[in-house]
Amino acid sequence: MPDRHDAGAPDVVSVDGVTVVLGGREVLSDVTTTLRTGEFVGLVGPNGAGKTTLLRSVLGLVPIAAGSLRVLGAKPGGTHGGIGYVPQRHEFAWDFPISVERAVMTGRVRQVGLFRQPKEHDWRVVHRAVDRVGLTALRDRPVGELSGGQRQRVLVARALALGPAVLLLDEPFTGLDVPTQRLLTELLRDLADEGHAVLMTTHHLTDAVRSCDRLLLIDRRVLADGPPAEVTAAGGWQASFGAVA
Amino acid sequence: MLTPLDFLHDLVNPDLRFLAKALVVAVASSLVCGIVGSHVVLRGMAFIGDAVAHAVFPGLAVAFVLNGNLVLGGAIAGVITSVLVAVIAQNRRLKEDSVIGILFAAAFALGIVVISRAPGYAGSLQQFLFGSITGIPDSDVVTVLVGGAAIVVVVLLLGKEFVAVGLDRESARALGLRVFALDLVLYVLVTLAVVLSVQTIGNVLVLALLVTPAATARLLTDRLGVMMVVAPALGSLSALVGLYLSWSVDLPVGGTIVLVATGFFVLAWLASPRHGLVAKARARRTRRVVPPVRSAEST
Repeated sequence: MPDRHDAGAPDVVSVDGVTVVLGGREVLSDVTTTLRTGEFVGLVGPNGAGKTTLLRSVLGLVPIAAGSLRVLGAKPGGTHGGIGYVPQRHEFAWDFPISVERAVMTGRVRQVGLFRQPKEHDWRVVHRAVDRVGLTALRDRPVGELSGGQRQRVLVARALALGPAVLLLDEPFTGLDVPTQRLLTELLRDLADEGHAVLMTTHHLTDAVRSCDRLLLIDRRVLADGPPAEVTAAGGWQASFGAVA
Repeated sequence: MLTPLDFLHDLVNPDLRFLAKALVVAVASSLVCGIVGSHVVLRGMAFIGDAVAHAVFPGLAVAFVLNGNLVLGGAIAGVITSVLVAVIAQNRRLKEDSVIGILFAAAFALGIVVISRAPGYAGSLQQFLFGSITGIPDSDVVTVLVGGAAIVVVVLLLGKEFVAVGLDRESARALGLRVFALDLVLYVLVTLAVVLSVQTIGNVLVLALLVTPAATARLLTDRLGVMMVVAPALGSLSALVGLYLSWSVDLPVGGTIVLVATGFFVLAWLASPRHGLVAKARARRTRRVVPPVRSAEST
């Protein structure tokens, strides 16, 4: 890829000609892109375009049929601690009797280690993550009592508790009201500026256009990859979204 | 009706040793079921608990016919069936509940066919299905205590992994946890807890020991740690009170224990300080406005 953005910043994720086949169907075809430190990238595309599959391949959760994928120079799935994953909110059992800080601690379950309890260091990291997303006042609250925006922040904090180089978010804005979306966008923007590479899938195109450094438009293959202004001007944008944007 | 003091006298009466043994087995197995059951309730896998309870039956029947160790027989059958469920459920065309429905009914049917070959078929069948306080050998008391302790230790050791998977399977996978293996371990633990409890409570009602005290505890608290203490405490209390009532009024032991546990559940459902029916009604009546959580959004 040409070095248009943040030239010199290291690639934390490099996707090179990746093809993913699920149930005999080619879900991703020859996808090539990179993700650099400090970037805030929006992954957009129509329903069924393979956005979530791309996230899952970076996480090492789906087998890759062709191409290569490197996360911090290693195979995906091998660098636990390198990637913080923020799933869609409905993936999480919010009725579980657990406090905010303990839910965030589950993000460190591997760091704490089998048969061990969290140590002081783990709690420090967790409290820093909770503080970073602005939930310190609520850290003893059962997660079931939180609003949608606060729940999304819990998931971001849980991902941050790993101290990850990369943050992957799946549709973080879904079901949030506009002011809450704005706050979350600011948070993600700040996290990118602090040196995380942030990649999120989103349906909220106007927000993505305004806040992301780069948009990656896919529909099984990459249709456009560049600054929002370039991508929205490209032909694929109109074809994919029609009058939406 | 006997007074609790009479009950105590009977418990220490050497001629009624079976009663003391039944109490130890009932209380210990309820305690174990309460702890394992907390995960069963939080995962919403009560149906799997039911399935496992049925699945141990052919093992019990075979052990009974062959005069072997009932606990061991039940455990083997239960573990085989749970592994089969976990493996067959990997097939994407079949939902897990269908697989469970097929296998547990098949296992139960097999158990009935096997036990029908045994002499005194009707009596032994009833004992298996509805529990009994007589005829527990000393070796089973030891098995229940040692086995129960082992189950509790494993649940506590893998507690945070079970929680991480229960909260969010996909993220647990992304973190590199072996979700399938952890599921398997939990199924096996449920199986073992069921087998230990079958003697006194019976095969049909053992599900109640897994689910009812844990669900009651969930109504009473929003803290997992508290729930894991309250559930086994309620379970053992139900076993104690149930056995006392069963002995003093001459009621079937399994049914009585379950009804006592259900009584606690109804009580909690009505009167739980935060989630109970009464608390909710009172909150509505006094129009007490809970400070909206949302207001802290901008902090």
